[in-house]
Amino acid sequence: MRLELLGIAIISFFIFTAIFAPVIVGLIPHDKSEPYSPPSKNNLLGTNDIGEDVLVELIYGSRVSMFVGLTSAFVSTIIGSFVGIISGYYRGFLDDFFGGLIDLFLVLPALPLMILLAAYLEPSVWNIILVIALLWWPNTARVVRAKVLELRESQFVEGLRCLGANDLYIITRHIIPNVSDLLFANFTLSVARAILLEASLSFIGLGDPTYESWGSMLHYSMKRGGLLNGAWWSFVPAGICVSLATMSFMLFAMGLEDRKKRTKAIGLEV
Amino acid sequence: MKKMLVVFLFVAFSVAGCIGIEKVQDGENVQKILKIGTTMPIKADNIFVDYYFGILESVFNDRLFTIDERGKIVPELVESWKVEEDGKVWILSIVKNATWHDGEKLTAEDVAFSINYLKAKVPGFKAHLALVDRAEPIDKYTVKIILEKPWASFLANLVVVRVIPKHVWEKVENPLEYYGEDRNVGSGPFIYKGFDKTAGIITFEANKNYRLGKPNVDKLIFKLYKNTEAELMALKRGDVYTTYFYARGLDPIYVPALLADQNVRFLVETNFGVDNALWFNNKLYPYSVKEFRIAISYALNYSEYSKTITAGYAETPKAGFVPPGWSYYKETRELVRDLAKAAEILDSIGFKDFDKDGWRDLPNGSAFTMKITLRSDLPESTRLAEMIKRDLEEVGIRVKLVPVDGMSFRKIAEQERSHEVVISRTTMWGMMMWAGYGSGYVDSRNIGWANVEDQELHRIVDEMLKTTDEARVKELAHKIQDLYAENLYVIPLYWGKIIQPYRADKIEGLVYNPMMGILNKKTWFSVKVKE
Amino acid sequence: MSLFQYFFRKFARYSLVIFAIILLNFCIPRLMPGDPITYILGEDIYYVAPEQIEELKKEYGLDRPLLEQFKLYMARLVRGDFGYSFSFGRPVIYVVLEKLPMTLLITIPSTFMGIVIGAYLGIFTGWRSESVFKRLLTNFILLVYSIPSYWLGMIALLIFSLKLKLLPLGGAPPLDSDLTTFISHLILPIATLTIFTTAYNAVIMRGVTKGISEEYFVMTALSKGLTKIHFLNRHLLKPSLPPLIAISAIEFGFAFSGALIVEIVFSWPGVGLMMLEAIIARDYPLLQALFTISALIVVLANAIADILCILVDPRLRSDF
Repeated sequence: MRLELLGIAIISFFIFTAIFAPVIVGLIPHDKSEPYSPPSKNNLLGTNDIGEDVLVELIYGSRVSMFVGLTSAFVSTIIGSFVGIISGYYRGFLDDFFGGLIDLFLVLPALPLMILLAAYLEPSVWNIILVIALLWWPNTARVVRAKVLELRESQFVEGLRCLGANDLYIITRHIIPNVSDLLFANFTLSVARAILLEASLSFIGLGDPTYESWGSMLHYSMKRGGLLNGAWWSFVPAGICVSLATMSFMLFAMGLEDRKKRTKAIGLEV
Repeated sequence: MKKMLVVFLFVAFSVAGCIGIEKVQDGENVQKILKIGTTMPIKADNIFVDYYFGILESVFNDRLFTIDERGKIVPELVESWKVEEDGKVWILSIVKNATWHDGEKLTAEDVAFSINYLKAKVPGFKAHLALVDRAEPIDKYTVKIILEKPWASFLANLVVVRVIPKHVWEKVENPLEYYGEDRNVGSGPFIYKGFDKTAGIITFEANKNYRLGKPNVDKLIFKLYKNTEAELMALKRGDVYTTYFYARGLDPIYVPALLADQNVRFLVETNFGVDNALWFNNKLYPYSVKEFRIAISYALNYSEYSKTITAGYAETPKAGFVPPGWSYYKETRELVRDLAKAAEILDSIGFKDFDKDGWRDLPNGSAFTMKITLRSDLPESTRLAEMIKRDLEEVGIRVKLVPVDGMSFRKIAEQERSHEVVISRTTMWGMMMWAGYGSGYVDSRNIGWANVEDQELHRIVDEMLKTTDEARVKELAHKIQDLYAENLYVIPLYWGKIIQPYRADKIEGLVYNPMMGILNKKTWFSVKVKE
Repeated sequence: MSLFQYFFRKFARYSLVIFAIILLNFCIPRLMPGDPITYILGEDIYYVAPEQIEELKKEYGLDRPLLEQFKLYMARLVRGDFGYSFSFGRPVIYVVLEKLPMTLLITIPSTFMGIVIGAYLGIFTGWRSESVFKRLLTNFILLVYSIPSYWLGMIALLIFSLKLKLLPLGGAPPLDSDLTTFISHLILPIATLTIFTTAYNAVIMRGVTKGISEEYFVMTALSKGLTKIHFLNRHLLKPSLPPLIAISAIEFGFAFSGALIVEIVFSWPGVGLMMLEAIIARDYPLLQALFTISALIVVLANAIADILCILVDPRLRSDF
């Protein structure tokens, strides 16, 4: 339980930083200096390959990570829950179709396909969101489908159907409220995955070069001599941020999971 | 699970089995081996398939003409040549003492065959040799090349022609799929010995029968690295003695890390290409407005680009675009940053912020955003673009960066010419294209990133293409640089240096060539590998 | 549903998936901007007339209608001919077979170790996870799971290669290297991959074990006073076997491409790095082959896992 709180605390911290980035940046020293200057009074975390302040980049980077993480998780959860509910509730042809689709997506090697798509689309934050959401929804859909199948067979829903309640009523009043916990936990996990994936794509150089993100900081450090120049400050902090942000969302999800007794693994599998 | 284990063991043993095979010692005398590291992504050892392996061709094969240290075209396999019918017929006399690695004589027959064969079968050469009607041997050592129309600068095309042995290639239907043992038989100072793809090692041995004598080193080894870090660590450890990358040299960002090493020294050479420049599509409004382009030139922070991208290994460019080093270089106005002047010019031609949204609009009042296309696969290019965006925004010009991959870049900037502004670099050879002095990139009738249709430029280029008189060529070269400086069709962002690191305790005597870098004849006969 | 019907249904579904993969693989590369012709022409920029480009496209069959290209593609695929790689200048199948051992060399040991260690850690932490140590361990696993693999790789390079100078800065070992050099090249990529497969498997197995440990039959079994070993075998290992089989199957398939980012950081010349090069070069045939092969392996592994799971635990059949 305490760890869940820690997760929430870190999440709040990053979201706060993202929202108030310009204000925070105004409060810290961030002169432009020589490329790869080590941490000093003027640049608390040193500078990068073009002499810009690493801390400032980190602060602005939180915007990209949080935005991409939350938005793409939101989109994929919406798609996933829609498909999962429809397919689990109606079964039959729809289930065959969507089930096949889910199988297909789960089988495709995700990262290479994302790289391929990201290389195809022009590099922008929106396209990255699109790519992540497009390839991530089946994970949500599969979990939701299983749960809906279970609910559908429950005596309560059977009963409602016998009483002549229509499908829309059953879905909105009984199915959705019952999967909402699951959806929320799954959404939280999706955010964690999306943050990691955005960082990976940017690291490979398929991110949006007009926005500095944590992943692109790692990219430039790797590509422009950060390692050989021994400038650990150009990549260590960015990696810590990615890990912390990802972990905080996972801790939160784990907490949610632990709270519900007797749930199967809600989809921690990836 | 067991199966996996079996597969793993199989793989492990088969690889382990390979270890220790190539441990042959040369007992008699110590071999002089020159080891060069490279990050060029060589994938196949066929010069027609792999562009970067094609770069290494200069090691094992001689060409008709080559480039000297001053960037002038000089004969290599050719002894003398003459031009007839105003440049429509070219007659080359070939050296008489050249032989192929397999012992056969290199004759006019081979040269004529090469030209016809390349034009017919190799994609890239269809463009290089587009003007060639046919080549035919006149006698054993004389070859006649007939063009479709007169072409004064045909020599630049002959520089890239690969002379290949007729007796090997005449039986080959598709050179792009040929992997016969004799595919890399050449006439050069080294003999190709093989490419170990797994370890990334390409080996050459000295050609004892080379017509200019045996090179100074017995063996030449290229070690391929996937990244510069690994390559430079190998240099520091002494696994390689120097590094190579075609038309680039070492990325200056790595120089500080190497300076601490006592044994590593640098050759710092003039780059005959322009490292990075801002190319306007001069056909498109508002880039067609000269004053607008000039205003932009005052908004750019040249010294910062040089400092952050090249670690200071560059000079502030001049408006004449063509970098110093070229024989007919002309000193023109230095480009400077002057924000007040930029704003003043923009105001005077009506690019003002009419709607008070903080951004300058077009004189007719509509909003304006400059779209700069750049290559997303080159980190220094995206970094540069970020800085340019910031600098232009300081004078109120809104900028949108459009990063695209290398392939799309060529499609947009060359085939479609749908770009507004691009950031790109030129190689030395590229500067020689068309009428030379970068005209190929500027003139709308050639590659034309700058898409210039200016009558005066076209006239100068046309005359340069026809003139063989050196004095006149010099005049024209000065004229074209003045024209560049006055119009700023393209703004050079910095004139970089080529940095060539080497281990001073292992080798000495590397000679730099503006086109091929250290891979040139002078190096082979002056380099010394120390014990 | 009879077992036969069940298998038939599964078979039909997997066949559809395979067809969809083939179709997708055919379409995506052709939708990408830029065309391979520009690559064939090389990096040096020179002027190429539009007619010449058309001519080249014809030579490479890229000008034919899509349907015809697809028919050609299918016919070749059936024969196991994946076409000709533009950028490597050789038939795709050779190129892939050449790089495959390199990838297997780092993925097989790491997948294997990852599954064993991960499963153990997962069962250990998932089974009655009240102790402080177990909770700490769980959170540590979670932390590792959150770390980007390439970042850990970069730090490893900084420490072991640049500072301590113990290990090489990536790349494959040269053929003539001795055993120490050979192993020194393998350590970092395999270690990095192992850490991540371990964390991944541990997280999943923990979830599975937790689910099982809370089910009632376990409670009854324990209340019946079975010995611990007996209990572990019969009630924990057996039911947790199907998910483990499924994971292992998927992992094996993904090993083909999963090492991609790790290969980039360590410049390991395997399939993953080649995939990135193929994308940059717009090498359609090579990309198609890589996707088809890796996706087929995953489907196959899944199908086998399905069958195995059913045989091990018939209860699962009711899921479908």
